[in-house]
Amino acid sequence: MKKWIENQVRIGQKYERLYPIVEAIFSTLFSSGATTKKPPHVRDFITVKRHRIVVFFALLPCLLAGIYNVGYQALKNQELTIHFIAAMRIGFSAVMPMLLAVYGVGLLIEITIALKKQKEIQEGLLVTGALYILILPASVPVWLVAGAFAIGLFLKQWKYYFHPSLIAALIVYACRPSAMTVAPIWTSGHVTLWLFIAFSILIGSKMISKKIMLSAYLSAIVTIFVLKLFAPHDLPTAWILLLGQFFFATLFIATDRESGPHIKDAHVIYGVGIGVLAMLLRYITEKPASVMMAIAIIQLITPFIDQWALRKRLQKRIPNRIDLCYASDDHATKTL
Amino acid sequence: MAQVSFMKTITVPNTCEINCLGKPSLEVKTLEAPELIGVKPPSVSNFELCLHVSIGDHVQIGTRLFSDKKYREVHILSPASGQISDIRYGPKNALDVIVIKRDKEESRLQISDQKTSLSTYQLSQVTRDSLVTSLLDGGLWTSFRQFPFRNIPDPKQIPPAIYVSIDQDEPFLPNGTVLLKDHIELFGIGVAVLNNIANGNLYIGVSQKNPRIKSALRELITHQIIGDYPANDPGVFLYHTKTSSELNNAWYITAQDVLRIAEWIVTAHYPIDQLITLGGPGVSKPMHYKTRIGMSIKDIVRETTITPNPRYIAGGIMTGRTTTQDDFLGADEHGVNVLSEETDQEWVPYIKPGLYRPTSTTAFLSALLPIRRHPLTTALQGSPRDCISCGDCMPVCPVNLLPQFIHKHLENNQENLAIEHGLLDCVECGLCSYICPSKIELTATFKSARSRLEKTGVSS
Repeated sequence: MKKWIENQVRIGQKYERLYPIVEAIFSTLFSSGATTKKPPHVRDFITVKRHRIVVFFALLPCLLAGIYNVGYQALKNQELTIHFIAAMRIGFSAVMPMLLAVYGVGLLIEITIALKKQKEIQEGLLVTGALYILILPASVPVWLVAGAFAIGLFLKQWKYYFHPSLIAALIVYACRPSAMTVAPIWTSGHVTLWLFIAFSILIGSKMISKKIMLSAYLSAIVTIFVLKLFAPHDLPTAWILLLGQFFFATLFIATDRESGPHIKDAHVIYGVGIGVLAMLLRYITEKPASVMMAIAIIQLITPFIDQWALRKRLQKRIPNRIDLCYASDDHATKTL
Repeated sequence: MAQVSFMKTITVPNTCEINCLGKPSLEVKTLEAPELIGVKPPSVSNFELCLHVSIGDHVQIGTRLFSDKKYREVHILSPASGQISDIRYGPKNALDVIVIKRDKEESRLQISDQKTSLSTYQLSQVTRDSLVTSLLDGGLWTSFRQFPFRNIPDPKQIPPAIYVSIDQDEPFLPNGTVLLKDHIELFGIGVAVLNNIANGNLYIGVSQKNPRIKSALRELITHQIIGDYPANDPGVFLYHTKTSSELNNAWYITAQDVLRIAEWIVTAHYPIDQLITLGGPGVSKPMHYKTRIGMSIKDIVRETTITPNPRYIAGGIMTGRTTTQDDFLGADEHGVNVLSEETDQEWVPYIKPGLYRPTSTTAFLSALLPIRRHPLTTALQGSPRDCISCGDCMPVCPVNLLPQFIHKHLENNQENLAIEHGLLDCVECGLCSYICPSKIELTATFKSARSRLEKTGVSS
């Protein structure tokens, strides 16, 4: 049956245009069964799906804790007895419509793009969708959540240095400035433990850059102390660094490999930029969303940081001189 | 310089151990020459051949079978005496193999005026030109390769340097210790010849994992190389010792060919034997074999049990070519590896913990277990996807390239930028393709771009 369906969508067959959808379904359910056609004849077991699923597994407990947190806050505000089941039920009823809308819209866009380009459907949506929900407050209307996410995904087709969930969140903040002052879904002490577990999974599996995390944290600490010296403030340091948006954003968004710097030499500068700017904006605006703003600003200049690191790296190489690579009689036709 | 009493150490940081089952034992078995011997052209892109024989002709050991059209003094000689029984052609009507039906009693052709062998003393008195002529007459010039395109060098050129790597890390090719066992003196003669040809600019590297050869040849070895696959590739050796752009045109030669050159110089007989490996998880008894050059795959695997649904690879499992039982091994291919063609499918493999998944990453729980060898297969292990900029290809490139950037430049036809990024330093080791989670054929793309550059130069 599976082979028959696959044959129907092969190049030249009647339903060849449906190949991306069939491929997405079968590659989700089974291993590919394809063999290498060119050397190397063996391949590593790592796949894009494995990349995504590791991050998603790290994120999933945070998502569940965030859902509980929404219910917990609701019960607390109504001064009712806080019961786990009740909190989860309220949390699910608030967050599930957002999740369904985001994944529904996201899937629709990914399928449309894949059908148009006749390429395989990419797996990034799984993580991006969950991340996006977590950085928004639960009070944002579903239509705005889905609309902003659609714009973020479309922009992603051209702007490689922006995390789509970050762009979508910034669109939401622009449409509903009040959302910036409300704590996002995940913010609570309930999530802290899960964040540390997620941190361990992501660092252990080398899915995120240690350099970015470390440089962002060190620079944030230094900035806080400098600010304390010159502009005394009441911001509690530990809260900002461990429980706040900073931990979550640096862990899941700043370290994203696609929207972060592509050259490892640029990781420290990128991390320091995020650390310093996030603390400065946090101090100036006193709003939780300031960390997202800081990451977006740094991602705006990431291509330049990457270019700088690239130039520096290429300067270390002994250049390939193609004019030297041909026998003397061939020079005239083959040189630069 | 080769004759130095101390060796330098090169540590190649970006390497990768391919933990595959089927490593050949150090035992060497001699395989009798079969009835049919096949002679294939060298696996280089710049060799345009001019055929000297036709079906039905009788040839002796050392008879010229074909020559290069560009460098007419470069010949391929017959490793067997007998009748040409078949001449097979491949795609684009290119010569694939000349099949010789061996005589029961083989005869040798007196190849050159060098009727007697040369002693080491005589060797030191010989001029470079006469050595070059001797190697050309002896059909051994095709042992040399020139960077960056790894083609056969112009015999009239003087190389900026010659590189020799004694060990080969690729699974599974002949072990340096097995190769040089009882041949240390012969290797020394080969080194003396190369030293003359390279005007003293000779670099000889040995793996740190090969202490016996390191101590036996300590007077000759210039560098010890630390690292896993492909640290001992001559291209990697060159990259880590390169001091100027001129060295991009350096030559290299395998240790096995150094021995063949030495044998030719010492005996004045065209060397017809080679050491090969039969390895890989698809073979019941992986080991080394001493064989005649040009044996068919069928004859090499005859004495061992092969896995059902096998893929035969002429060469190593990372860079070798797919072949069939009826094909022959080229003179520059020193191994046959057998893998299983795995097309079985399993449910949602990406969700499983992966305790027994072989991987060089840490995304599976197998990373927590001690390193063990796995029966790797030809499975692609995933479906092709767009580049996700994960950067996994960068830390495995032994010559510090940025494969994902080069790939994007080549996709956009920006060959100049790809060259600026070091495309010509690529050693085509295959590690970037091996590790890529998006299953992008990076190595194949680089190989075809380099081949295009070699033929047409830079277009933009």
